[in-house]
Amino acid sequence: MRRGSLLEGLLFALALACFAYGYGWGRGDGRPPLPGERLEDGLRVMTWNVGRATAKGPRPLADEDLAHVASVLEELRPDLCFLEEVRSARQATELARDLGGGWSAEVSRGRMGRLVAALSRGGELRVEGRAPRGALAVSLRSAAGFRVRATGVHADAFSAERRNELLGAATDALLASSGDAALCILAGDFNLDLDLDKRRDLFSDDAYRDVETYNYVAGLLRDAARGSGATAEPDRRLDYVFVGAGAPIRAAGPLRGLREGEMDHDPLVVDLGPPR
Amino acid sequence: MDEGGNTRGDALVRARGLGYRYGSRTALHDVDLELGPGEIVGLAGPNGSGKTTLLKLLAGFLRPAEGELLVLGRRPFRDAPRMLRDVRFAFAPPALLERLTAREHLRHLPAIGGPRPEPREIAATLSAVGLEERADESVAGFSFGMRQRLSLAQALLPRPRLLVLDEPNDGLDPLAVLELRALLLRLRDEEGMSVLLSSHLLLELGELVDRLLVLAEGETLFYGPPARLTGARAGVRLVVSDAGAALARLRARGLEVRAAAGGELELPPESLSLGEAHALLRDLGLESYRLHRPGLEEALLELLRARAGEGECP
Amino acid sequence: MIVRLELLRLVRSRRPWIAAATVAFFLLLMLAGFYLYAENETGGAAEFRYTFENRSYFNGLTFALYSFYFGFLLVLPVFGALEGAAQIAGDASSGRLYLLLSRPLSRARLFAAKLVLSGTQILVLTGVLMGAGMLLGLVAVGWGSLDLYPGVLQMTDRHVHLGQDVALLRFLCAWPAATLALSVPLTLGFWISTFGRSPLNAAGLAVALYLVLYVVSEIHFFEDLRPWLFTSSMTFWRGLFRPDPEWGYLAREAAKLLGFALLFGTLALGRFRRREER
Repeated sequence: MRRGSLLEGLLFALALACFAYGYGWGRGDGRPPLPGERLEDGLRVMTWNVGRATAKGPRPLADEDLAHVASVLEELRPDLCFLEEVRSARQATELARDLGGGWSAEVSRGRMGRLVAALSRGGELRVEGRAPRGALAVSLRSAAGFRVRATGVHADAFSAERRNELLGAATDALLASSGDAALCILAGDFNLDLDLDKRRDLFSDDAYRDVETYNYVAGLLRDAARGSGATAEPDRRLDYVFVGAGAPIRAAGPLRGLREGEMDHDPLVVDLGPPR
Repeated sequence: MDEGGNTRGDALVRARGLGYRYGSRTALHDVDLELGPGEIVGLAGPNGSGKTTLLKLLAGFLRPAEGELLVLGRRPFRDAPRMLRDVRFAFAPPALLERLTAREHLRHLPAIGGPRPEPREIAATLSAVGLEERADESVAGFSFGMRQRLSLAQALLPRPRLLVLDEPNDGLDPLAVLELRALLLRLRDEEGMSVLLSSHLLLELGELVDRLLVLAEGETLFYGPPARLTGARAGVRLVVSDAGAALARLRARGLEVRAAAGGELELPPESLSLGEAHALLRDLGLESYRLHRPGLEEALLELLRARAGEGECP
Repeated sequence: MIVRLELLRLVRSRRPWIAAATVAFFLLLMLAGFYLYAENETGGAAEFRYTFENRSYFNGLTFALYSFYFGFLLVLPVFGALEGAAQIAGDASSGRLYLLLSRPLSRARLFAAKLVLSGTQILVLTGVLMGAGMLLGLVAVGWGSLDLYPGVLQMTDRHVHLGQDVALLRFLCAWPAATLALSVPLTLGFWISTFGRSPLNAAGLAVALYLVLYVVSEIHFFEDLRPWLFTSSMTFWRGLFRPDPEWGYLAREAAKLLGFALLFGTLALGRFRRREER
């Protein structure tokens, strides 16, 4: 009986060892860790669709949510943040003001309620071009001193064709105008759900077109938060941050528990190291 | 062996105060058993008396709830593999491997934990149990009696020191029952094998066993040589026309008399001779007088009835 | 010797043949569906054997992969769970466990023999599904390179091209990897089998438990729970069909599954060694 118990003990220990290796510490599978404390020598980029998903349909950022969004930005302190479904330029300005000194804000062209806003600490945010429609191209100098070109987008939720046009054009424009920038960033709500962990059909009117869109962007830029999980209800990865080569991705992923009310997206945060 | 029929010292099986419970139901309580080399011990009792439970305890399938049990000096539940090197079991009903032939059973089963038997050993064993003609047929087509024989055969290879059989006579025709008896006696006499077997064929047990353990509701009713059980029940049986009056008259004479089954009166064998009975009972209408020596079955039935409170003297 | 006896019992029993027949039937269904789908997609212009050029490119290797994937999802794990559940409970209910345990054989060795043979059976069955699918694909459709596109297999988000030789090697590696995954429902079945004496109940419970866990691992509500369910890792072998497999990821997923198999196996062994045979 004793030998049998010893055997059981050994097998159990082996099982534990396998679990320890398989699950590991942290993410353990090549994915970057979730962002934690902000690191001073790099760049923190954030994208967040701050609209609501109500029973009557989607609604852009409500004024009553401004304080909450400001508190989240204050806590996370991104160098650059893109907000989608901003109702008006006024809201962006109010946010920057509520956040205190040093924040600047710009908004894209487009119809009210579907604006993309860019907010940045440091006050050196500059709009570089507002085309294509639905995108906002900006440049800034990071607190660590390197130049960044970034484009925020909010792609169409219902047409793969239009998503393809917007994202393709935004990518081309970003790379064409990157010039002396040390880093290129394309971020926003792409409305593409391509997470391969799911064994379900893609959430799209044309799955193949969305894949082509993703492949095009991913062929030129790096998907910083790949495999980090869903960013929006119900279990969809719709928000992305793509970065150019050269800057190490230190941490990336959606931060849960920061939504309020009927918001249906989590903020996606990426911490980048200084470009090499 | 002592006067009580118990063995000492080199007992193959020693159980003291053995007990087992199935949940809240007591299946065995305070059972003693000893079995020595070259002995045949029988196990009898009504259905549900605990016979199979006792055998499963011996095989190490169950852990005793109370008491002590040693088989070949080992605790069966803890040390079953070592104990089973010299003990073989055949349980009822016989569970066999349906898609194997009889010969394959004897080729593969004994080889588990032991040497592979020689083909001639297999052939001899099949012949001993009367299965040599059906050796290469699938067990799936066997009758119950054939399965019993094969179950016994697999228990005989390799030869154990102790053979434990659970109702081996079930399903056997009378000739096969006699053959089994002869085989077990031969194994005991020629090979010194000890046997523990349970059976409902009490006549067979009476002819075969050295000692008998009778269980009822998990408790020991009788344990000893069968002759002690039947001898205790021997006596003079009287059939009279007025049993009540005869009973009173005999008791008035200081005789131990009791009413037996079938309206007969029973006295101890030495208490009254034929002549005395005739003289005493002529006016009571004595119809018959005989010496009564009950068989094991009858003795056991009387024992059970006595336990249940039947057949007592009025 | 117990291994030889158990092998003889297994070979003579109907279970392996029923499983193989089910796999064969499944493959024929897949082939029929394959042809129908191709005909529909091309408006009747489907041609096979290296001539079909479209983003929906099918050949015999693609057919084999599709068949293996869908067979692996439910057919094989169900057989794995059934096989495990039939072992201890099956012998206990028929009384054959008394026959085996009344031999000088430790319960651990009996358990190990049953586990090894059941595992081997699953390995063979997995090989049959894969091999027969490849053979059927070769004969009915034709081999070639393996081209994967985003779609139902959910194996890639971009076009993947593997040359025929590389693809065949990846199939060979996927065979033991998939068998490792299937060892988990097998050992789960073993464990459940030690709790009763009815193989039917044990099999039903093992299969039901597997299906419930499989469904749970598909539902986004359980996002935090999913990584801890073995069903979430079972299709890890799909990662072998990338041009540059992530070997670290594959090793970790394999370790998780091995851990579950060892855990369920140890629990089963512990229970079997200690339980009474009433």
